[in-house]
Amino acid sequence: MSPKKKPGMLKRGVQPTTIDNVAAKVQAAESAITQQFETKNVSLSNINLWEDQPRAFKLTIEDVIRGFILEDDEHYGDKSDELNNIISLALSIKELGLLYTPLGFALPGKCVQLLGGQRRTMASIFALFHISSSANDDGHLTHEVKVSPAPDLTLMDNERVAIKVFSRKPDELTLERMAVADNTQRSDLSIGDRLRWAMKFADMLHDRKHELTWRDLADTLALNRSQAFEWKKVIDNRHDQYIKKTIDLVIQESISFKQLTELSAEAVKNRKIMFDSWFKKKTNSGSIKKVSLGSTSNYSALKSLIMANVHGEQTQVFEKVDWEKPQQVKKAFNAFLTYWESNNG
Amino acid sequence: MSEFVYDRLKVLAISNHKGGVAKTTLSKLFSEYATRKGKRVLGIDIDPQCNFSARFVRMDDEGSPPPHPDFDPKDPAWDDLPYAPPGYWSIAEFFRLGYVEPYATDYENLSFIPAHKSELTRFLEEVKKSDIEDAVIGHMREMLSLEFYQDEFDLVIIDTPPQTSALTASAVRASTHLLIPTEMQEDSIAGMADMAQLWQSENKVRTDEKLILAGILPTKYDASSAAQRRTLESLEENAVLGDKLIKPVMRYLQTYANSSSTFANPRSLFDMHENTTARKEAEQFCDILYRRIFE
Repeated sequence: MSPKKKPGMLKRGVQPTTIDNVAAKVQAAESAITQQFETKNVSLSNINLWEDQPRAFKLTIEDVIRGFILEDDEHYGDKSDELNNIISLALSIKELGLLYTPLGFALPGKCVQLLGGQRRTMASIFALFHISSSANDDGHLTHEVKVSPAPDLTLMDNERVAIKVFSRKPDELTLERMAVADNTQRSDLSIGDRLRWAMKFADMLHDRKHELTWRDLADTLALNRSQAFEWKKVIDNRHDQYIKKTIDLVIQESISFKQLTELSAEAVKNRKIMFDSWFKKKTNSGSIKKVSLGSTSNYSALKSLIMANVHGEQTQVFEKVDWEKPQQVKKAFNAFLTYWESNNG
Repeated sequence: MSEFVYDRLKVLAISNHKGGVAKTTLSKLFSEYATRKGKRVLGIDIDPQCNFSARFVRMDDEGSPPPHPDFDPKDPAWDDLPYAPPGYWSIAEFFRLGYVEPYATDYENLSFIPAHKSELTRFLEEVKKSDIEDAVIGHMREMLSLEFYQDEFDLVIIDTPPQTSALTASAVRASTHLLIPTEMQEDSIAGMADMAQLWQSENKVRTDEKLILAGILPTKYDASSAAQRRTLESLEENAVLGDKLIKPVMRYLQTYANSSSTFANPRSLFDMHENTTARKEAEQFCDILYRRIFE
């Protein structure tokens, strides 16, 4: 007799819904830990500005309190530009209030260490000391920049700004990401600042024997999946000499980020050729020799180009060309290239 | 709560509202493992069943610890206490008098605060009838943040009773890490949802250091059961729970029960031959837990 079959679902194990329910509760509990923050009104004197911020920023808190840049300051130019931006921001804060809440974490006592919102906080300080507001006849407030010669620092004790404060210091990697994410969410970080951050973050991960993932980049720099993969390729190849040079050029804004992603997508052996094609003068012995007219039909433009660049006897040679006939133009163009190469390399 | 911050002390609560999931066996094993790794460990038993205590302290038949060897009834310090201490120290005195002297054990680096069957049961009844529950919940953390505990120990391991009570809540409040053992059965798994809820609500009241889930350890696992195999597979494949699982799991092996009994010989599973299956398995899951707490 075959063994009697048992009713029910003994062999199926625990119901999937039970496991899903537990997973949902665990996830909820976990996310409550990572996002634990509250918005607090913190007096300006209790805010520690973040020194190692992702933005290449020269202006200091002393400059903001003083209200102007000292003429003998080594970064006078950069700082003046930055201060002008701070003043614009201060005027808008005075008019509209602080639209985006700065981000920080609680330090022992009442102090808060800023993670993001350095400029906004500096602007609030500038507004406190150096912007005066008055109502005109129709009741509208007008704001005026008047640099105070002796700012009263005790005013910072009473002036409070709302800050999103995390109750504990996030770990170093999270901290690094949150600071840059706070800026990218408002899309006012330059491509250079983002590149610098991504390379620094990748180095930090490397020191901890971790690898940069596309998710890190997507989440922090607000990129979509394919953009994140392009970025990852660039950052993964950051030690390649041509990629390195191109990154520097992107940071200096002398070349587009698109070119950088094209270069990093290229096979390693082809990068030199691509890089040289952008930046190096063609040499006699260079690998790129072939120049053709392609499908150009604007022969009169070619004539102008050639006639402007030939001298002496050669002028007569090219004057004899019938510029209406494609065959002759083509010949003339090749003759011009030979002439140009022999004279200019 | 912010004034009761630990310096570097780690406190592990081993907890699941469901009974019989090997909480006490794990408490014993991990106490021995961490001690062997050179950590100064304090075991605390808040379960009136006193099984964890009986392993390290010679409890009498009534479930009471023996007189403490250093106890001096004439010590003038006792004048400051609400009542004269009985001569032994248990977790009940820890709560009632705010004072306790841990017992030394056979292990050089392991000290112990035992439970007391009748006193602890009576104390819990008193708590239920009075309005001191909040004070009880905060008490263990307050005690462990004292300089003595911070200086003398690296790790505190608390074995909790299955039922929810002010004592369990006190243990969770005092902890830095939480280990949830679970059998591969419907009730135990469902019980984890309650633990997750407790974990979340605990972290809501914490402003400083959050309670960390050190892991979920499947226990009493029987690979010959198709249902258990499927359940473990489902947990492993789950995007959230998979990361939390500690592996290897603790299998259903008679050696665990034998080695954890009060008069086991050899004294510890870790004293058995190094090829003993249970010993090898325990060393691996204890190592993962150890690293999650200390690294």
